[in-house]
Amino acid sequence: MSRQLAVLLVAAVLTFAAMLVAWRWTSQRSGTATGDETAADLAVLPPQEPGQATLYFPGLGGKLHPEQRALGEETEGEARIRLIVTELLRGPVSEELSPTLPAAVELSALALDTDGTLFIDFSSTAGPLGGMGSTAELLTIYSVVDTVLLNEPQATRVVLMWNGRQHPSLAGHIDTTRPLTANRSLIAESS
Amino acid sequence: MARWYPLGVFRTVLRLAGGLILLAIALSSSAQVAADRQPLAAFESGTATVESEGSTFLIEYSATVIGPLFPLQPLVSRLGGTLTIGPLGQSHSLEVMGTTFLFGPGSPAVTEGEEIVALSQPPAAGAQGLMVPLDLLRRIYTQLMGLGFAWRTDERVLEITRQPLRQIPVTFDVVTLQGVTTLVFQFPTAPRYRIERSAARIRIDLIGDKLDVRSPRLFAADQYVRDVRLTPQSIVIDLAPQTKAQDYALENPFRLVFDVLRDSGPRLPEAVANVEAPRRRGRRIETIVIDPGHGGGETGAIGPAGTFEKNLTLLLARELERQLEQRLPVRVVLTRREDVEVPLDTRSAVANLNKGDLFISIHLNSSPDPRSYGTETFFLSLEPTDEQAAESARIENLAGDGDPLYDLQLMLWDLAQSRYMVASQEIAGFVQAELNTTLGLRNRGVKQAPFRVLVGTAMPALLVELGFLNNPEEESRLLQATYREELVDALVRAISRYINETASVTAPLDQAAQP
Repeated sequence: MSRQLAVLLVAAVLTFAAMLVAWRWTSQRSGTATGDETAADLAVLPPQEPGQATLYFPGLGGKLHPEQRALGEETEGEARIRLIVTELLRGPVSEELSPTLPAAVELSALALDTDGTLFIDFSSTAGPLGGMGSTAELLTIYSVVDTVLLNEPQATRVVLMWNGRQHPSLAGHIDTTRPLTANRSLIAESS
Repeated sequence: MARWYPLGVFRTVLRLAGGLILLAIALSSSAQVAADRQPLAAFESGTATVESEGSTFLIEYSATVIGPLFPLQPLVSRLGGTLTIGPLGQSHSLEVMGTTFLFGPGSPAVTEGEEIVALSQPPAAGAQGLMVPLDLLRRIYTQLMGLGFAWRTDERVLEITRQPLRQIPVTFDVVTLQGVTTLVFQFPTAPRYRIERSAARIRIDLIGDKLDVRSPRLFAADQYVRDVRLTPQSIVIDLAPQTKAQDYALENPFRLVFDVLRDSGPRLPEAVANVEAPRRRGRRIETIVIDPGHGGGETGAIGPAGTFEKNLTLLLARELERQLEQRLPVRVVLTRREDVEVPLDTRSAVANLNKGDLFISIHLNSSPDPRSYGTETFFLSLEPTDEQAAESARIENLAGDGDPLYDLQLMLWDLAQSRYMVASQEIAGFVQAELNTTLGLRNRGVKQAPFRVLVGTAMPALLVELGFLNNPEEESRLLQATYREELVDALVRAISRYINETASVTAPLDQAAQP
């Protein structure tokens, strides 16, 4: 019983600390323009239907290929991104395309910061990603990054986490210690 | 035991903790503090004895695969200097004898005045404050105060001694070529020195050493350099108005070189000029570091016949080592020689520790499309780094530090590769050309991507993908030793071409510097 109380006390302290940090963060960020390249790019994207999203899956030519998907709800911001990532993890309908991540991977946590930084934490009991070359890793990473950033304008960059923390790289090539911005060069030209 | 608790409570705690972690990462990642970057794992830690000029005291230490780390603060209080820690507790500024060093946990780069240098391994946080490697202590206290550091591993003793005064002969030569006056000071052994600059003068002060000026050559003033004076304590170069000088050092024998040329165009703030400085085309290629991708439990790509990328990259790296040593006058270092897992940052650290002049990471590709084939060569993409760095500087400003140049230097911590982008692109072009024209492989081109292994390398660096392992035909060819030798032959030709083109620029300088 005393351990239960201790756990609840820790939870309360963590919540308070989180609120304090969030308040400081918000106050530091106030008045900050986000006029970076990604935001400018997003301005020229074709408008998305509120309940629709375009997912980008790895496929032929070592490129990302689009698939339209109905999300079921008309939401925005973090809630919309959560639906999009959940759909992305379900994999492509087309048999010509490959799943972004193995079936054992789940969405563990997702948070959209006020400055547009999106934190996505994937988890898997099967351990880290492996067995892939750099093109496969690039496509895996940017399947996630491009799908969320090109669908939800409130997000401008993505921090990818794996099992609760950031790693130097998910599969031994691409630097995932930094926020990633959209990479349109990986999307198939006919898209 | 977790099953004592209701599942809902446990999940709530996890979510709250996760939320806090996410927020903490939001702060730290935006502030470039590198808390998310992994320091090298310490395999040993404890208490060490410091012996310094007859007195002893105890400090903590830890040891990684690269070497020991010691707490900076207690050493600074004994040896001298002013240590300032930034408002976020990450940026450390140490001023010793008028020279300021900037560094922090998680980054192997340190700014020394206007220069960025690479450490053997990144500093790490410890109970007594920031833990730093020996080479940082040597860079600061040996270079500026003539103190020697020796770590006796078995006894856990750090010995600090005052280096004896040396009298070092110096010869001086000058070459004027294509609008550049090059001054070369040659020494049989590297002296300890400090360079001070002003608009009209460069002064090189010897620290703990004296110059033996045997045959001072008379210097005839030209349009860029007014005078050069050598004394036992210093070398003074008086510059003509509207000139600028770039200095660099060459090894074997040690030479200090100053290129003096007309200063045209608007003057940039010094730190900005540092970022945009052109590649110094005087660099010799003496040490080449080859990085066989993956290893150990990290297999890399797996071919349809079950071939592991890690095994082929090691075979290719060893063949490249053999051919390079046979055909070119270079030293070759491999980041791994066995089937072991080496962290990406350790690979960069090994390259920097060995003072590599060129870094080549060898990989084999895979793609969801089994028909993909061909080779491609990557150099680092800095776009995300720049954005992150700019954000860091902004946050440091918000935190109250206030000095934009200071912040600009902070953001350079992680841009070790940025100085070598032009050279990296150039050699990547040579590699791709040799692979494609000679072997008739499909040219997938020179590309940029944020490869982790390239970020911290303080030398021209590239990552070459020598084929798609998931393509059955390419897998089959890669399993043939003769094909691998052809691939390596193309790489050696590309490196040779790069060395020759660089050497052709530096030849007059090097020849002039010979006694």
